[in-house]
Amino acid sequence: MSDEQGGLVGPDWPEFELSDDETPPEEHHWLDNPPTVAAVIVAHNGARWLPKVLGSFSSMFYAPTAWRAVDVGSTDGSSDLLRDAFGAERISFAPSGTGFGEAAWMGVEQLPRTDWIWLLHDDVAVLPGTLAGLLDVATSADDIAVVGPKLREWPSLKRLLEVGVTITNTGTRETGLETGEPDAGQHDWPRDVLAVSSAGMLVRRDVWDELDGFDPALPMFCDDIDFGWRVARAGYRTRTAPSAVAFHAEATWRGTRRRTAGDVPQWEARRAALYTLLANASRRRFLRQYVRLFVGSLLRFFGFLLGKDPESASDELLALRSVYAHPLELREARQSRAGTARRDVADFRHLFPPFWLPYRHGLDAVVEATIAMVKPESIESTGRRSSFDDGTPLDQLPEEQPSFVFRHPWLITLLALFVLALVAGRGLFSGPDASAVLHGGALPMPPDSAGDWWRTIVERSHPVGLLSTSIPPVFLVPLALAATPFWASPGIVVSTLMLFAVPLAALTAHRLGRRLTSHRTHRKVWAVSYALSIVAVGAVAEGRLGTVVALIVLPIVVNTAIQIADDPGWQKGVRLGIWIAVASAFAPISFLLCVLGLGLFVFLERKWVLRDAVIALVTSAALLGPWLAQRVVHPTRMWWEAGFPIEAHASVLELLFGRGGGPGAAPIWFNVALPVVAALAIVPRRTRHDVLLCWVIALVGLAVAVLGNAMAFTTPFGPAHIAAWVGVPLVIWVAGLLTAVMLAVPEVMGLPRAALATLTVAVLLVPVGLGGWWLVRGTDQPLVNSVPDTVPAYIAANEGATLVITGTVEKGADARVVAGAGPFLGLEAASPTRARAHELQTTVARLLARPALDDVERLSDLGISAIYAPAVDSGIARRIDGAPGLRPAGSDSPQSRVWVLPGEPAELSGEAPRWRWLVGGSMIAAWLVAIMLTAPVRRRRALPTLGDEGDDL
Amino acid sequence: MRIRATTPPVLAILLLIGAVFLPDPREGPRDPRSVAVSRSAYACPGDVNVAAGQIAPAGAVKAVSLPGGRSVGSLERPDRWRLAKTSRTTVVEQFGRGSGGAGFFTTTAGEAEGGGLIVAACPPTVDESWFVGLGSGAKHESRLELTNLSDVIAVADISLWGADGPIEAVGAEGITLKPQQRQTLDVSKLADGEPELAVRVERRRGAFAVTAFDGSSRVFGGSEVPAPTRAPRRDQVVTGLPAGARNRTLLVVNPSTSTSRLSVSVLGRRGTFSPGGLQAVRIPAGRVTSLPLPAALGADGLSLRITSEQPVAVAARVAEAKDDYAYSVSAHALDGPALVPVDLGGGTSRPRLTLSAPAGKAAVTVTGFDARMKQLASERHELPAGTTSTVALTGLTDSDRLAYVVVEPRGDVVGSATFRKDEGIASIPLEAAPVRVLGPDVRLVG
Repeated sequence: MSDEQGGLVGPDWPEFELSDDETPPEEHHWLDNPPTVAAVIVAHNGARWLPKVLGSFSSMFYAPTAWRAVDVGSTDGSSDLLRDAFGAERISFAPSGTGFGEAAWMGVEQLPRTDWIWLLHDDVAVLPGTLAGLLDVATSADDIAVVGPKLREWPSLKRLLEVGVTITNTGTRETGLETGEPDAGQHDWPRDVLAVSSAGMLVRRDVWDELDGFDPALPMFCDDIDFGWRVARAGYRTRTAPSAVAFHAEATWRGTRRRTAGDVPQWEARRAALYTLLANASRRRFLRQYVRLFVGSLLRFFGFLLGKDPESASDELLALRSVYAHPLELREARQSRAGTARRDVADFRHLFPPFWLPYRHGLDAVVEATIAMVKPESIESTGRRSSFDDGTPLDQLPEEQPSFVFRHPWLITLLALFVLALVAGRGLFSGPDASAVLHGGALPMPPDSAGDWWRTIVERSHPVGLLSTSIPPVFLVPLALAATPFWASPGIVVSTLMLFAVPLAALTAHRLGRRLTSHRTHRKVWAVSYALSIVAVGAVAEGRLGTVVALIVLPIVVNTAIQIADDPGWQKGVRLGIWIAVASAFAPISFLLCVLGLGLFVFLERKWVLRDAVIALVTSAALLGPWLAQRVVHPTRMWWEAGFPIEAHASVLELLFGRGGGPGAAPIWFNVALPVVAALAIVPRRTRHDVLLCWVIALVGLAVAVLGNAMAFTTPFGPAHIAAWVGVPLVIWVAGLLTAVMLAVPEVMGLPRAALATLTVAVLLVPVGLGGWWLVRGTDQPLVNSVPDTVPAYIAANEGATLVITGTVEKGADARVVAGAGPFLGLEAASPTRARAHELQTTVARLLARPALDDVERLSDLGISAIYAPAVDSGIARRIDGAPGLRPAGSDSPQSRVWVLPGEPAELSGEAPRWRWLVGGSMIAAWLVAIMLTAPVRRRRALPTLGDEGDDL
Repeated sequence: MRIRATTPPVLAILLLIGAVFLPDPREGPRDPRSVAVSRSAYACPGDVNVAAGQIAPAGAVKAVSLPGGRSVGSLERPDRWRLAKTSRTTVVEQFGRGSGGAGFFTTTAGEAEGGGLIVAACPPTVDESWFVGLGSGAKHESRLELTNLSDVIAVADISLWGADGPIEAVGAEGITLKPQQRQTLDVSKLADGEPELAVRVERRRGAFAVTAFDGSSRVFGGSEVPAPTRAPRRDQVVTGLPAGARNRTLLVVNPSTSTSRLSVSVLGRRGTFSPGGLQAVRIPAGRVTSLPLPAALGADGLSLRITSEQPVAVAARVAEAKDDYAYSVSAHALDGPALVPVDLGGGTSRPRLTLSAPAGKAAVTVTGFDARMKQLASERHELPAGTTSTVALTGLTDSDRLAYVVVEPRGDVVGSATFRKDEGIASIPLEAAPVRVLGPDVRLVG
């Protein structure tokens, strides 16, 4: 070959140096009796790469003894290049659509018999010593049948592509390399592998003949893995030869090759993976693998859909159909492999990646996303990490580099918050008693499985005490989505939200803080103060999940709104709507606050953001659906958050200092300086505009809190009159003040030292004081981690519901009908029909006044089998005692009483219309569609082509 | 957006000032509510004449004698004024919303028990019953009759106070009554030799009725089934001391641990006055005190308003002669129509009503009915504020078919009905028929 024939050997080519590994051994070197090698290059529309590829062949230290080129229906002049390089007599032509394996066969058959066959692609360039390096390894043992080079990326030339390859049990091609991992010699030792790429593969001719070469059913992808697998089963070894380097453009994989009629479709890659796994699986594992891959592929299909990658989803489905619709083809493949197998798969199990690797990759993705969130915005995440240690000695780290703590202050702060949350939540984490769950205050217990939440969304009647046909609360949709990965332990989601509320809120607040200030320390203090305000208001200890979720989410809402102001777009509007819906689903008052916030947003940013604000509003309204409609009909129920409606009331001082009232609120004096400092923050002129804006937002929160503090709401159950809990607007008030202070801090740095110190102490009193109080007090009470005791276990196990009565004759009694052990989170909002609720209320009123047998029978007709009075009032007990037919039963404590009703309780009937499940289904669909709409659509994109990248080679 | 720098803090202060004046939306204690009674049950003792009736026809009546549960058919007509002579304790259950069923009984005690006239209401189940004026000494002896009205075990606790202080009685707590069981307790077995006793019977569990019997045959004669008086309180009215009686003794128990000062004012025929010697009377803590009422109060019917520093329970023993006596007790103001039996089947005279208006001007409408619940006559009586009036039912109608009267109050009215037979005297407080009853305000919660 000459330079004129396309060989571009010249100054661009990286200088090749013979390494120590490649130094020929002094004794019995293969060069003493050089083996014959026949090279086959298969080309298909590879004119873009062929000139450089062919050029690389011209200067090999040891060249093949015979050449054959096979052109597969090229339309780009590849055949002319081949003809110029090898001569017309060394070229075969295969029809378009011929797979690589068949083309290779065609070339091999037309070559004289040699010891080895060297398979080459039209997008693989070699170094002068590549073949020699391969032969070094190939001739080192008799049972080595296949040897592969170290493949580097083309055009970068330095990044590793493959040094051997294997396949996971989910069908993923696994190289064991980092994405973009540079070649620094870290893999330069020959080792046994399951397979090597067909690009540059050196195969023993007799083994090739024995195994009939590549499987024609794998025309393009996985043919090398399948071949290596068969080689291993036949008792031979496949080995890497790192000293042999080749450069692979991966034109077909990356889609940079010009496509022509007959080319394999994109889904062929997935089909090939499924086919390879099933054709080679051992008889013992085949059935399990068959089912597993089927289910796994369906899950992948839905995953791709959710990830807005419709093309991959389509590929997945087509591949699945192609493999599973042709069982005979699969059977034939397995039979042919059985004919050449001499070893069991278990004998070379070590060549496969560990079973957990696919899951590790999934975890890596989550970890990366998290790290990307907590790292400074200037740091970008790298690609998927390797399953292997990179082996870099720690002592090689540059000494002048600052420590990890100094390089990642926010990450360390966040980790500290997580540790503090663990300490503060002592006793609230599940211990040895598996039936203990987090509940108490306003927080009902979680269900047994995430399936219960899904079922509640779509079922026509809810098995609560009096049977409910009401529409389920919309917060169940995001809750069920989040809990699905923890199917059997959905309480994990609730516990995580409640117990790690502070670090989670700090996380979202800090991301917002990045947009508000460039001062890292200021925003860290601000984020931590905001997060601790959620604990201080009393939301966590009182089990107010709605407030906690809303306050974790609200910084994201603001952040998204700011993103819209920077760069409007309908997708961002939808995303804003989703976050508003999440916050409002858990704490409906958030919707009102967000509407006010959007109004202010549009007022400030003008028409620029009007469209996206409207989109956000419409999206959130659509997602909240019937939930919102109920609130519109009964506006005071905007204060009814997720969980039990537990009343609260704050004094004026508590309002001022951001305490919601109740047993979980912090002492007010930690915030005593905040309003004063926030007022002083208005003084600096340079930041006054932004500080005043913060004050406006804070005042909106305070105004809503003041109004809410004077309001009460009723639930659909009956005449309950519940004073509203104003935790959400109160924290907004505090957050506004904190933000005002944060923005003004840079302006006061020049104050005299004494004044500065006073201000610093006043500001730090919030995070430090609250943090200390949080640690000492803990997160519990009334929140507890215990076996729910709404009713004693032996009553819960009975057929029928239990009427739970609390209160006194003089001050009023509360009645609750509990099915089983009590409602799980979400069912507390399921209300019985108005008629049934009224009937129960009047019956219980009569029972506690002058009971008659009629009243007892009526309770039985309502499906009640027992009456339970925890901490019973003697007046109440005496009146129930007087009811004819009731039989006292043993109770769980001296303070409580239990009565059992005579006879079997009636089974309540009543279901919502058949179409009711559509409402739940629509809710789920609406959320999924909205989420998918916000994700960027993934399209297959061609990577930079060779010409675009420049002539690196 | 232009905002003055001082505006936000000022607005915040204004909002917080506004918050001071906004109402606290929290619900306070919810007062008990009136609930229509759909079932009333009461127990009448054995060997008495029982009269039973109702304000409105009932849905059904079930009367059974204990023990054995034999039906007493003559008491089971829901639309009649019914009479029966019972040989055993009889439990009557009346069904029907708002029928206001009530039962009364009369008898003349045997010589051994004092031989006086007894007229009393058949007691329903109550949470606690206070009896002031019982005894276990030479002058009079008392017993309690507890009847379990339900199908489950009932448990009662009894507390006693004597002239010397609280009495720790053995076996007074945790008295168990089997379903439908009747149990008689001699007070002397709990506290012997006590001339004056106050007894509280508390329902710990179950549903039972309590009747107290008090008789005197040694020093003077007479007997009575005193109605339970109101639980201790600081302000109350002992209602309807009958006209003609001259020997009146006020009995007071101060169950608290502090000495109480007590004042008595009299609601007489012409108005309210404070008798001498009954102002700021010292009532020792934990003791029963007897206060003879001066004869100067006159022979008219009257009521006594008792005010005290500490909650006290009171009753008044009234005797016209040595042959019999009666009790007047502290009673609720009528909050609904009250049934007063006329025909008790025991030969008693038509009762006289002693009515007082302790709180202001009031009135009553007295309507007479025959046994078929047919109205015979009606008359209205005005009650000037702070006065006590006596109404003789002889003037209502001369029809011998008069079986009972219904007293319908207008304003605050307390009163009693006094029955006589020969030398015997008996008095019962007027109590609203159980048409509606107070129960806790019930709300459903999720």
